[in-house]
Amino acid sequence: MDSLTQSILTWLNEAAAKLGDVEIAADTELIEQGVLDSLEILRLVSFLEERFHLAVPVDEFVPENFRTPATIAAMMARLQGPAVQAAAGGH
Amino acid sequence: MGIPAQTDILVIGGGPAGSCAATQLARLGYAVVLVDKVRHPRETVGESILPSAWKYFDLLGVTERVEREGFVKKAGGVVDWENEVTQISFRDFDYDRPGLHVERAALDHLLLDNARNAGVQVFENVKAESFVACGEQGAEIRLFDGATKEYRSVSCRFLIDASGQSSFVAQQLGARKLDSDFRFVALWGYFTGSRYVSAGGVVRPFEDIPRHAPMTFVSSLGNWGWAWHIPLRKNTSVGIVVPVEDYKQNGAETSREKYFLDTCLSTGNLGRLLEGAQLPAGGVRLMRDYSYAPEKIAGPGYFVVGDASGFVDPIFSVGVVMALYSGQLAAWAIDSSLRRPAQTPTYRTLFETQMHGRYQLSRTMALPTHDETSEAPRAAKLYFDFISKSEKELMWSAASMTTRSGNLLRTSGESRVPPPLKRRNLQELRFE
Repeated sequence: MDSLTQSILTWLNEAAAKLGDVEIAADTELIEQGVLDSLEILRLVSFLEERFHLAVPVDEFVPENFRTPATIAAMMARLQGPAVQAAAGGH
Repeated sequence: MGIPAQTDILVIGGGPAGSCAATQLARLGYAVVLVDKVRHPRETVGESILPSAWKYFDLLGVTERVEREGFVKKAGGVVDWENEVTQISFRDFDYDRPGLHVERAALDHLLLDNARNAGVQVFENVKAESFVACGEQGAEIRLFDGATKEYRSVSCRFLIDASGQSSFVAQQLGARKLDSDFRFVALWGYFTGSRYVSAGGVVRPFEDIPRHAPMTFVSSLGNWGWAWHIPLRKNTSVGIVVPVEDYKQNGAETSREKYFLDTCLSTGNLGRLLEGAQLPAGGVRLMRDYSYAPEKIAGPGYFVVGDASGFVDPIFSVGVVMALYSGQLAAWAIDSSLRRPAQTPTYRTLFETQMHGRYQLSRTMALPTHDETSEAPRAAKLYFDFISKSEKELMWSAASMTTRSGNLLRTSGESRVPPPLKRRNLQELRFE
């Protein structure tokens, strides 16, 4: 698993600990299952922006990008570009 | 201690939205000053609270305090809409905690105390008078201290307008729009000795509340109005929402009190619930300017939250939860902006988009149709797709209990298979 997905899962599992016994995997339906509401998604975005030194543009803030940890990681990877991905030990 | 001349964040208004934002920001380490024009506890309307409020109580660290207060727990809602009686129960929607019927004086006071305990400097009997300045560098606000009769200026990096229906920022900018689709007035009062509706539509005497949780009871009223019946710890909040024209035609001839009582008592099941109940003399309240929205809910140096950011017909009890949500959202936007100033416009836009979407979704639920050519359906749908399956089912089921659900079905229906309607037909209330 790349470090991006790992960071996302770590953050989510901490957030979900408050919600009870939810085990979060890369393909967990975050919005549908009520793990994340739009407020928590914004908090996650802030965390990722600081952690990976990038800015998520307003247009990316659509439900499809935040459906699962995997879709969030895909969006982040797209925003980071290939060079940064390699440095972060990605694909 | 006097009001400081400078602070990180100035919050105007000590209702749920203001207290929530202030608490969150103080916990993040910012200096926060909150002013309220009156002293708490103070009375206000809006007593029915959805179970999703608990999530925010958890975030504010106030859950235990709310539980200890012993507010009336509600199990769901029963709606009598044009003689069709249906029920929804919260436990059918994955909620493990109940909804509440609260005396707002008590809940709001408790949340404000919690803000104080979190380090917020609270000043009551202090009124926000005017903007001295407001921009990307921060805001300066002129306040009037009711105790010392002195004017003070406070500079802050961000202003949060949580001033409720006074809509401080919108009034200052002259940008408050009344909603022409909602030309209503609301009248309400507090009855003692009213019977109430419990699960299965069983009507019980008031004293049974501790043993049999009440339902919020809602009834349609004439052509376009509706009424609420919300049992509290000592009395029952009862209100009617009627078209302005109806109130003018039929209310002007008699007293406000008589119009209110006549309407309540002549409304089928509501009238029967109120048989033998007492309304204190002079106890009828009135609200005009029923629904409104400001043109801007955020700008350089300020964020608008709670009722000040827009008010929709409260038929689905979303007010307090929306207030708490908006307070958290403003706290997030301000914290993020102060940490990464270059990104401030982005955070402001995200705040506006989320707030606008949520507002439009509430409006969508409360209106049978809306203007398809406007951007409202798109904004509502974007927000709708950010909420969970069970919350969607709750909204869907609640809206379907009235004749107002067409809009919501259209807004959400394009994308997915309609969720199951988890409502139960009761035929009639059971008066025993």
